[in-house]
Amino acid sequence: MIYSIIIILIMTMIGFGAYIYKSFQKDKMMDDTNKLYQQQNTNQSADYKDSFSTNVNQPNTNYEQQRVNTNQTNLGYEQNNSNQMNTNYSQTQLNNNGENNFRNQTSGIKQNVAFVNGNNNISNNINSNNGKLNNQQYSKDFNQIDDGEKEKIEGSRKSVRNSQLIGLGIAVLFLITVAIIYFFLYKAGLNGDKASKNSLEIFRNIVPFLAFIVIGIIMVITGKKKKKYTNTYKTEVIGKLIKSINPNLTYQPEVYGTMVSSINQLYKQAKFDNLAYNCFDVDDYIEGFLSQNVYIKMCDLDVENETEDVEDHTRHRSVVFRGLFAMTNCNIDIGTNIKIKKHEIRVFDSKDRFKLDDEVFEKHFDVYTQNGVKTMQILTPDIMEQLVNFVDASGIKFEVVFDGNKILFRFFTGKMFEPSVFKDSMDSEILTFYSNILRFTLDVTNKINKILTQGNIV
Amino acid sequence: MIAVYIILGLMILYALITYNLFVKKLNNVKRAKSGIDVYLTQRFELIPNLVECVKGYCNYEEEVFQNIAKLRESYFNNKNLKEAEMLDKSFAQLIAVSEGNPELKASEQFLNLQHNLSKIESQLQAARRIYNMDVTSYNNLISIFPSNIFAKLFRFKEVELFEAEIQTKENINLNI
Repeated sequence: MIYSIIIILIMTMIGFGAYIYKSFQKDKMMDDTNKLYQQQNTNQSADYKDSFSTNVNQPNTNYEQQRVNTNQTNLGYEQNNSNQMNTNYSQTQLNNNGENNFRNQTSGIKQNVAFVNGNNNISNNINSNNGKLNNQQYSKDFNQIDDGEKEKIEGSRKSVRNSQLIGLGIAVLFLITVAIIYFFLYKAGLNGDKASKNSLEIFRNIVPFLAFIVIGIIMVITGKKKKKYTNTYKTEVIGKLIKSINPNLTYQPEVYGTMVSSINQLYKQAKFDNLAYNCFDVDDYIEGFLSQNVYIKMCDLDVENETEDVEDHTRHRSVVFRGLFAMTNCNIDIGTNIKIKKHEIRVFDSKDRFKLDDEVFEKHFDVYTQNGVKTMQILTPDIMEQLVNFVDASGIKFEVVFDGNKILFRFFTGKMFEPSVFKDSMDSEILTFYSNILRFTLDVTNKINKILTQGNIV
Repeated sequence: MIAVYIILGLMILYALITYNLFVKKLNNVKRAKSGIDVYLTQRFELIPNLVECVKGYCNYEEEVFQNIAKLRESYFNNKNLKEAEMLDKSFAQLIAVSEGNPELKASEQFLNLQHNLSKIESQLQAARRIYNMDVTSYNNLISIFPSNIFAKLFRFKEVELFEAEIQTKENINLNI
């Protein structure tokens, strides 16, 4: 038994070492690729560079490409030319002067992004203007952060990741040491060595304490670094992403006091469901004017209900909602309540259930209202298509409530805007995902306001 | 014998359920139609005002106004959606041509009328969608098997959709 444990631990250690090695290799390749692209960009003419950079000059994209290629071989750039993007990249190096060249590169990158992210990628299935956005749009957002800044953030991420990996390594090493010592003491004890028996007893008592200290130190060191990285990520990456989507929007990573209660009030007002809750956590607060009269508020929300078992006094937490919550005001008070909820199969429909004339929309959403005409006025075929397209492209379920002059959204995204140390800080898929949700909310809000104003609904 | 009774019982039960469904859907259609009527009435009540407003600025042939007045009267008497469609078309054409006159377009009275019209049009468009949705649902029940057998048995007939294009802006020959 004990031998098996030791073997498993050693195997884990080897696997872990291999993982660390692979991670360092990846970082090295990314750095090399970035340098190469920077060098390549300096060779382009100014105009060409400007237009190209909005679509192509993505260190992250390159890194993604390299990541895929590392699975094939570790032979370097020359041999990676079989890849579509790299073929185009080579063409660029040979011919630096033409529109044709630019087209080749752009199409190459587009194909390659699809190649990197696979068929199920949210971001690349999304097209503009009907509930969907494209990668090009995201690229503009992404380019708001300059190369130096990107390097700094990536450096911070790598530092956290490395310290976490090292911490994990120390923990595994600690476990192996404990197991080995325990094994020898136990074996000696079986042979009748009294001193070993006593040592085993002391060892048993001391191990939890040692484990506590080791884990504590690791947690403190990595926790501090992680917090610092999270702050940098949120301010530099998310903050700038939001600014690039709409310069009027402001971003606040942490929210306290009255702001929490005002958001709670808005969430209650929406009455998305009848579920009770007693834990309401808000962060990543975004707000600003979209137009003269249209103000938007968004935040990452965690709504939970904590209950206590009467018998054993244990506490249980159930998630009521976790995701993005947005509130925007309309130009006009629609004077009624319309709820667009995610579709659920029910035996008996509520009397307020209102069926719409779009079968596809009905498959995704259930609408509840007492004013059918106003609902039809607001939910034009165009708006319905946009809502459906967004769900189809992103796979994210969401609900919308129109209440008086407010439109309230909640997207079932899970925790938003939190960085992962094991993914690039500029991960195109994640940032496109954020960008698309935010843009979609702003776009729908603008469209509805347009309908309300121009359609003379009230 | 028992099996026959059971089958017969099930058929009667199905017939009852289907009949009730027909009635329910037909009532929905009627309710939706009354919704359209409300907005059409509001819309056509603006005709005299529009005619008065237009007369002051444009020299339309008297025949055009007479035709519209006739259709309007006919609609108010019969509340027939086919007539409403025709009247709506003439009405929309009158508005379209009126909008071509810059003096008229600048008049406050006309602007007020336009505002009211666009509001009613939006509501009418929504009511039309509700009506057509209910009619389609009802007609589907009449057409599909086996409910079509009961539809014939209980003499439920298909209802026509309301096809009027609310914001038709076709040009007509008027002497402005």
